[in-house]
Amino acid sequence: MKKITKEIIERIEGEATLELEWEDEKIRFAKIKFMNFRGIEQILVNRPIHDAIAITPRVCGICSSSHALAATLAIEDCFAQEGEVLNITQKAKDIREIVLNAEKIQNHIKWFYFSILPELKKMAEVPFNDAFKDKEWLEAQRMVMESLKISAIFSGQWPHGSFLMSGGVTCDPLSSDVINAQNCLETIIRFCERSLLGCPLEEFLSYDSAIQIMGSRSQLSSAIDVMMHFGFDSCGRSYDRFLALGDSYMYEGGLKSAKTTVMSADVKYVNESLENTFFESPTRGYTYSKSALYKKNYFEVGPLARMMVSKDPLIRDLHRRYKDSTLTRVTARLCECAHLLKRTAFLLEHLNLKEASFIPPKYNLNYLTCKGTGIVEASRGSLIHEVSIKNGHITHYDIITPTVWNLGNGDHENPSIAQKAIIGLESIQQADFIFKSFDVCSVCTTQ
Amino acid sequence: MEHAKLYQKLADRLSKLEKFPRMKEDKSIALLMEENGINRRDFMKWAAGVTAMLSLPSEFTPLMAQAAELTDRLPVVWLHMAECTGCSESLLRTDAPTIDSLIFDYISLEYHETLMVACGWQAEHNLESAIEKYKGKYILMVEGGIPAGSSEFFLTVGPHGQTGQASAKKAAESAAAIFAIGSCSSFGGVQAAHPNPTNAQPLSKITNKPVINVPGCPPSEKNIVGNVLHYILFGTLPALDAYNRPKWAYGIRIHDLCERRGHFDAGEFVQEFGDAGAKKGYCLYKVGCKGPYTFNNCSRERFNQHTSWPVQAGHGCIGCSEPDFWDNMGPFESPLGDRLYQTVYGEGADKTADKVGVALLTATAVGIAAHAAIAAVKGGNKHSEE
Repeated sequence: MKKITKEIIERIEGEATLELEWEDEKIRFAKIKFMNFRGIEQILVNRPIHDAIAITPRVCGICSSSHALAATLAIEDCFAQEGEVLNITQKAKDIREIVLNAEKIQNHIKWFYFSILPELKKMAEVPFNDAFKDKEWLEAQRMVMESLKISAIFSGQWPHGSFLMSGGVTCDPLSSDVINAQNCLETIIRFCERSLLGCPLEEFLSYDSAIQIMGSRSQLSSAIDVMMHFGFDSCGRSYDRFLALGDSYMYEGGLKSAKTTVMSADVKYVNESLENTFFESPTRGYTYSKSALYKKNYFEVGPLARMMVSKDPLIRDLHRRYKDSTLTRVTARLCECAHLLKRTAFLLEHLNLKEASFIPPKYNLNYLTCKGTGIVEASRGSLIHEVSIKNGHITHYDIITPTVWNLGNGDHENPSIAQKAIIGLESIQQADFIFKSFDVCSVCTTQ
Repeated sequence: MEHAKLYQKLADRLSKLEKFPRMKEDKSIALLMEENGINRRDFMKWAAGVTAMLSLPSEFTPLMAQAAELTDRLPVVWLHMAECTGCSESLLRTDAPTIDSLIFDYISLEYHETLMVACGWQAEHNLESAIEKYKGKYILMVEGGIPAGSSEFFLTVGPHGQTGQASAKKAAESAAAIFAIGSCSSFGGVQAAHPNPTNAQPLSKITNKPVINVPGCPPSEKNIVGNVLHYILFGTLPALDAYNRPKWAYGIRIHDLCERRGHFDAGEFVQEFGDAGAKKGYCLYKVGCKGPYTFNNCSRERFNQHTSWPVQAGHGCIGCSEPDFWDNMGPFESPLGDRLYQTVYGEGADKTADKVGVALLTATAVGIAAHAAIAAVKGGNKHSEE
């Protein structure tokens, strides 16, 4: 029997609709619809290129620093294309990474406590009046705030801080600022050890087996219990193909991985598909979300992809047992959060305040006519900004957000990552949870 | 007491409000604070701070505290339009749980797409029933610009495929007070920047009812909570400026209380990012700060729990609480006075720096005059008293 149902997905950034096609009580196909188009790429055209650093963050209020950084890197790439490789000091690089990490840490905590945990509680029928008045939630919320304070110390405010310029960063932190940031970070680490991970951070990072996480009492282990109980260790699987194009301290260069084999990847093989969008056909299209493909194939991006290409032992072990199921995907994001906490502590401790924050470029941007690309590993995966400029003014701007990799729309023969994960399921509740496990953000997807 | 009459009036209003039923039965705000380790003394300190922020005499502090405790008598409906959710991020989650956001949590947030537990159909039902149940009593807060595009596909929300425009209009009809949160909802925002592909409009263009604008990209949480408390205390709209912004928050320029103001007066400027002046914290006017043209309280209230603000991070203000700032404040790293090259706004190289600068300063002066005029009119406005 065939039927079609419509599900509205909320409590994500913005809103999305899942239109499910059923056959014999199973999901046969899913259309993912994002309806909030704003046209940011069009708005950027004709503006001076530096305005992109202020405008692109407004694509998304939850990964604004990632967008600002991608725009900055794209401009710096423009200089490099014209022959001037900008000298970005280690201090500026470290500050950029600290701000980016703080944004990712808060995102992962927020996603787990506000998106994932309430769903699991609903499933497990744990009695609760309102998940958002829980003490746990308030505590997680406090950690989100602490993380954003770390960002604000360097970026001025969060979201939509202004501290990036091609050539470095504009802020000149004092050692007291660094101490304040360290203090905030310490608070988050203590919370994670106490609540989320259930053991000291160092110990968690030394784990190489799923059994070790399940052995300790923590929010993570109880979430895993509920997920196992409801079969999320076997469902929610996609293509088992991963991609991480941006730089990270955990690996070098752009990488892709098919199952566990890791190979190098290059942004030049990325293309955007307009299939099923209103841009392609106003009548047959059904979404504003484009799809991104690598060599015409869908690849999963995000924390799971980063953990897979960097060969993290713990996630590799989970992958060996449960493949790229929802369980692995959820755990990978939290595992990344633990890595980021350690890395950020290291960066703050070694930040060399004596170095310059900013070294002015020699070329005048207003005479440059070229193309540049900036890639950042944002919370949800690889974020790509491609810009063409003429005399320092934007002639074309293309933003490929992480969610268009994971949540694009393919067809019955070649479904996208999230579609593939949903097809074949028997319940809406499962589909909704699996969809949320990708950390959906509709404002990014459509801009 | 000097303001005995006003004090009495507000006290009367609060005792009337106190008789209203609570929206949430489970916990009083006093209990919630206690659980979160905030004692009465901290609470009173906070109340004194908000009293000062709203430019009320310090004797009003106990009333402010009482108003805060009555926030649960007030249902709030929060709608998302075309936006980045940055305002919700800034206001609802990131600053918590200071007393401000504890109160914000405690306010009966009847409908908020990002925050509520209900999803999908159930959520949609919540919105409809909240509008029905609290008809004429709820506060409506709208985040995001509203696309009034020719295509019906631009921003549809909910399972009924209602357009954003229709749902905002409907919710506004039976609201007691309407706040446009953030620059998008106040003035159209980034999506309304040239060429405005989706024909995004501010909330005030969608409804005929008065809209209080709380612009900023994002606005600070204090400005939101301040508005709610002001409404509880007075039951009327605050004194507004020419752009319908509450004067207690948007009454002075960023520049007026800027920590780098002394350097401006002394003629000490950062000439280029990364120079010696930048290290010394000189004035950022010459690298594009729009503080002198921007009305907001950032330099006083800052962001993320008073942690910092853009000027402190060494980058100038971009003027985000002014109408159409995306088009007329850019390029963001050049002073308005130096606008030499073509911008989307159309000012070409032939228009000299001075002319543009003077034009803007004149506009500001007109704005100030309008402030005064509007305030005089609004003074006697008893609109939407309960």
